[in-house]
Amino acid sequence: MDTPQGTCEVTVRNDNGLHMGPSSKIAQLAQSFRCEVTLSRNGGEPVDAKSMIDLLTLAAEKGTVLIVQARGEDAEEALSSMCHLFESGF
Amino acid sequence: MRIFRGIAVSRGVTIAPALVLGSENFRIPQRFVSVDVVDTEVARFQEAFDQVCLEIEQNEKVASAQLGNQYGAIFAAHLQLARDKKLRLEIESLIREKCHSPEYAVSKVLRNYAKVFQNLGDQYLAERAVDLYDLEKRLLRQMLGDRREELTNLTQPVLILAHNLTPSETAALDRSFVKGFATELGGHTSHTAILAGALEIPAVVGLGDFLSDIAGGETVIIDGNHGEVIIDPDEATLERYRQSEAEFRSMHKRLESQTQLPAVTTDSLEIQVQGNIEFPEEVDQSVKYGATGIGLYRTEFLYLSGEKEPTEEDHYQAYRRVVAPNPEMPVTIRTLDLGADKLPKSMRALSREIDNPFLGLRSLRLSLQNLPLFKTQLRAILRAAVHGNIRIMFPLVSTLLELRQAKMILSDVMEDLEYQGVPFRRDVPVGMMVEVPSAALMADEFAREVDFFSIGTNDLIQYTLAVDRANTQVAHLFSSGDPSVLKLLERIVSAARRASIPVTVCGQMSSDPIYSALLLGLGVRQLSVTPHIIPEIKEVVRHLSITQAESIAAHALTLDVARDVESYLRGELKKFFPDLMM
Repeated sequence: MDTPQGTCEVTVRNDNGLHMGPSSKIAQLAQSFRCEVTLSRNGGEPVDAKSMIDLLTLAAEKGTVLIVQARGEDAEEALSSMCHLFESGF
Repeated sequence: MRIFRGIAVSRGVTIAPALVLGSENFRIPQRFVSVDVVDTEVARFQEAFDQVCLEIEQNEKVASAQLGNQYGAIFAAHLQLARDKKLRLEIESLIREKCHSPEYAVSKVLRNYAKVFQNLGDQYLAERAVDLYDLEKRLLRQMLGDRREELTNLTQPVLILAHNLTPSETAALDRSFVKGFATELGGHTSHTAILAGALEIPAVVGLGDFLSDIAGGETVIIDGNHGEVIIDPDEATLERYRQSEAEFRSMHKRLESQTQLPAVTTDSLEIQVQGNIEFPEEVDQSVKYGATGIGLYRTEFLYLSGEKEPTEEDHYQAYRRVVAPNPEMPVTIRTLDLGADKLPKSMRALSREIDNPFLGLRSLRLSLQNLPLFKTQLRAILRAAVHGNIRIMFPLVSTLLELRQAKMILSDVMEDLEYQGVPFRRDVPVGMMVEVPSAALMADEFAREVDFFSIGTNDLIQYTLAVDRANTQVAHLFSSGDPSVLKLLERIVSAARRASIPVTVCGQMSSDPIYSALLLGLGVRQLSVTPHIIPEIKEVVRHLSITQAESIAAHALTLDVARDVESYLRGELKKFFPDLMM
């Protein structure tokens, strides 16, 4: 059976973009899943969503569209949680 | 010979060799290690790493509990950054694969990321590089130990020259060898300055960048009367200072012999000179210096010294300790005046995160938003009041509503105590600090609702002139003699007189003898000052008459710039008290 995987698109709604606070929350959430989770800007290199330092280097401002990709047994759950987090604007 | 000017915070003159404390630039002893110790080196790194995470976790807890969750969240984010698996793996692989020493690996990796942040073209992220340097420092401090251990192994007299000294470092200085200190950072009102006074060693702070080419071992003069530090003085200068060191000592001795005499003006009015204290033990020192009361007992150290929040019992024991030796002596306890600006070193990152900490959640505002914390303290004060002559004082009151709210909470606490059958004193006088210009402008209205005023000149000046005195770029704009400050003082004192309530001045201004005549002339009859200054202020009072003070104040009020006010007052002090060494 293939490894479950999927992608979704999210928009950064936080006023200050993905700064310390939001990045810390994303990393914390991503770490709660077993699957691999990455974020990328349109066409950019994907970064590890479990690494806060990687997330910060995305330098994603408010309004940036990011692609979330998850790969692993709980990928589906991870994707929906991530989308939910972004929609809430934290 | 080089002369540096700063802010004099503790009087006296002292001459000794320099001991320079590094500006936290850790020197990495070795860059590479041999292959066979790689495992133990990795383990050493991991241990340091775990310790640092614990430290940040602790900061988070303390910040959340004392300042609120939004502040704790700042450390939560730091912790997340510190625990980043990627960082840890990168550092470990440099140790394992390239035989880097853990210190070198930590420095290399974190500095590398700091550079990346600085080049992302995002202002906020560029500033976050500081957080990475912070993490680097924490790790290096953990692995290399604190160079400041040097301070505990002194064998001969030295003067400490440092970028900054924390209050706890200052308090721990060994007075038998440390004869004085000078720092690049700091202001008049920093806790370090206050502690220097308590230690009775000359100190100058806020010197700005002066350490860069001092190696240590040079002969240094610290002139705590004029705020000067002289490196490598020539023979003539040295001779002059030896002379004034001796004169200062003899004046001090003379003053000390008169400490227990009252401060009575030449026209027979007794002025109350009280002490400002931080620690319960300082009450003994104040009494020794002839204080007639404690005009300001700051309670922040109860919160800052320990890791956990003080319990009601901790508060109660501290307050009892202050009143126990002299149950009749008035003791004014100020409720929590904590803000982001008074945090311990390891939590300093917080104040970077908060814009305008002085205009933010601090002091009474913090208490009103954190009722369990506030009520705990009020309960302890009311209980301790059974054993002494305690007065309660609320700091940083800016509106009448705040004052009423605080008083209402005090009544709630009394009701609780009554209901629980706990002994307490109901008629404790309740006063407020007048230290925000809004309160000074509304002084008449406030005076009707409190039992006393205490003027906190440090904050009053800071808020009136919009100057942070700890900021070396603008510190020179801070002046107690500014005409706007004088006008506010006059207004507050008159309002208190109309309402027949007492008014004390407890800010740093009252500890500076040049302002004694002005304050008395404005109508102030109670001064609360740094304990070791009490003998000097009392002696100044004994040289003055109220009539004379009134005419000095009246003239000072006609001057329109701070510099003129200061030089006029200095000149008058020299006239009526020529022997006072300035």
